[in-house]
Amino acid sequence: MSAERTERTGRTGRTDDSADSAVRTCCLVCPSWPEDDATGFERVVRAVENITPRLAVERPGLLFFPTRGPSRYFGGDVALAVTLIEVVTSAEVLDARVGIADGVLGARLAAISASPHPVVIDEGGSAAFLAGWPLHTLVRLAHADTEMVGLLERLGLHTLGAVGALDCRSLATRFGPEGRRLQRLCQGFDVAPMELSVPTAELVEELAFEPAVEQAEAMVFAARGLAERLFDRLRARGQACVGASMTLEDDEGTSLCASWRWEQDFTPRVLAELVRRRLEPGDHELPTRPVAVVRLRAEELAPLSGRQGDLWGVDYADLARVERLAASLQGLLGFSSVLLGEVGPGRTPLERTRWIPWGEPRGHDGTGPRVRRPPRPGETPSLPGGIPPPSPARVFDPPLPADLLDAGGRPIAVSARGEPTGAPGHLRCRALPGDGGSITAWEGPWLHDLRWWQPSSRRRRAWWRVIVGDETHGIACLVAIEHGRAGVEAIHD
Amino acid sequence: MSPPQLAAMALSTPASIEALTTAIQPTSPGVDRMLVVPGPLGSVLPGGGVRRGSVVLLDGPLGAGAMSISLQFAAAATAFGGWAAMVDDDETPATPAAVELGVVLERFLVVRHVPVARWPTVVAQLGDAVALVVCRVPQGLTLSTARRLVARARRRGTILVVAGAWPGESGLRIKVERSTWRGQVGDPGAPLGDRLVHLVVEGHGRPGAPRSIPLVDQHVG
Repeated sequence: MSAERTERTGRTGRTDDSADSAVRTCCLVCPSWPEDDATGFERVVRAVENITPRLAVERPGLLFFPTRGPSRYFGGDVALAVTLIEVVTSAEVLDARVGIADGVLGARLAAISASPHPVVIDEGGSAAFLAGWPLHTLVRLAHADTEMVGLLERLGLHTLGAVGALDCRSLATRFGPEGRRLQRLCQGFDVAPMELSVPTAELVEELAFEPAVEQAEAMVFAARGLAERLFDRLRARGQACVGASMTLEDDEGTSLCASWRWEQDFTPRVLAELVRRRLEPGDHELPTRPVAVVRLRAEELAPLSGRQGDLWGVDYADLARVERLAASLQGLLGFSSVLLGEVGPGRTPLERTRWIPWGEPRGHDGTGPRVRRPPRPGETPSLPGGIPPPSPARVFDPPLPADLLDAGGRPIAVSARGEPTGAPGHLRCRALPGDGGSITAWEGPWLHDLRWWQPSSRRRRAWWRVIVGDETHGIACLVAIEHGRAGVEAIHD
Repeated sequence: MSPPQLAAMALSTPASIEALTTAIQPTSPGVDRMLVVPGPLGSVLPGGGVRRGSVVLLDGPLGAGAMSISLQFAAAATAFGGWAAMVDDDETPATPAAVELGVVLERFLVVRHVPVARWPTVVAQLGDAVALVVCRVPQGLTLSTARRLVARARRRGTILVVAGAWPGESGLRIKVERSTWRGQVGDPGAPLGDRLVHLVVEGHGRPGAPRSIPLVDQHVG
């Protein structure tokens, strides 16, 4: 099971950080590139793709790639760096900074210290190069926890070198996985592999039938789903598809191809319609045997203009209308009165609920394409101690004041070691119909001990999901106890 | 392998197959005028959905499940590229639940801080741009204002899902009465079981009868 999981995460480009490695990496920074100009940066990315097809774009203005192949091709790291500068200068980036070192962090810092000539750190020299940089560099470049870095600095560890030189277990025991991650960064190791975009692999979606199918209808259904996934992924890369091909493989391995170009408004719906027409009898070849594999491939790409249709072909007039409406309502009611939601990181429904003003960038939501950047610590979708679904539909910030009592009517408290003093028996809360009532079922407690290394900001909470009422009429609530006080944080409404 | 099974493989939200099948069939006017609601909720609605341009009254006490039901309507409206909106007066809707119920958050507009005096304008404007608006009637909404909103919604084909004392006419009336939690109720400490929402649906010439539907989590179910 665990081997299987490792393999799966390995394929998607994220692995456990157990492997000691520092991939020789080249970093390109365009310091004055506007963060929101992803479309313009696509031009730069394409120029760089002439040097190497496999690169990781962290944000507009910042990209990485492993140097092994291209460096051999251009005759060494220095020659590669010079070529890269020439290439991006011809793509009208005038302030490009290029750094090459072992590991992503080393390359990034090398690029930062480069100006305007590239900085190439010799192989094996990254740890020495990193050692002199101040520790708080990690806050900005590696999303390190500010308080943890502050604590380390108060302990007299001011540089990456000082932290890297500690006994390897001391940070891990004191700060857990995040401490271990920081130390490995300081030592110049890559804690997560680069998420490389591999054009050929990324532009294909396929579905295998078992057993093979004969009905055209079935293939069109499959193509529709595949097209949706393909376009969705391209959109996450800021690209739109203007040409696509379909391959049908029959159960004997013979394949049948068709390709299309579609300049305007190419959507999954259009592609599925093209597939349907192609499979209708006419003066073209049709599959003669049952089809085992349907494969779609994006053949030609264009930068996403922001007007390409959504999954099922959004009516553009719709989007334009909503944009106008949102702007007008923001004028009428205030900027933060018109919102779009997203599901953020966190353990509880309240922590994960985020409403972002219309027009502000949204990080990640549970529905849309994943933003291409390495996960920050604590951003994994399921945190340890996270409260499992189903999620309650209403959350209350601040929590509704309540009393959680045990069967004997005594308030439940949680000891310093995280042990509750009793089982939930009764919930009193003014906001609930009937001011609450007796608890017929409960689940939990989930115990959260956050920032335990920092007494001033340490938070200890215990959570229960309780059902107030009886077998015919139940209200499910999430109740939290913190500092001996109970509160209803969410209701399954 | 039958087409519905395939769709289940190809699409990540199996509960919306029903809606998918309708959405891709040659659109007859009858289907087009209907917002198809997938899953158990659709099965208790006349015609499997809600007529576009109509008003749905949806209400229930806190904890009974009315918010989840309105999120399911928003999910149906946002499923195939459409937009939905909510006038959120108490700032309590939670995004994880919305996603679990199938709402596409990037096409779900939430509007807050709406003063009572501006409420009709805001709802009317939202209705001009999106397919479905969820809102709660403010104090003192007059019959004439409600009628103007109904007329505008009908013209635009917008569905208004309204909670509270709506003075005007309505198509469907859904009263969410209570929820029961099946399974481990009475067995403390065990994970909670499935949820049944008990509701009464009236309208379109049908008398209301109590119905119970399981609350479906689209990502799990």
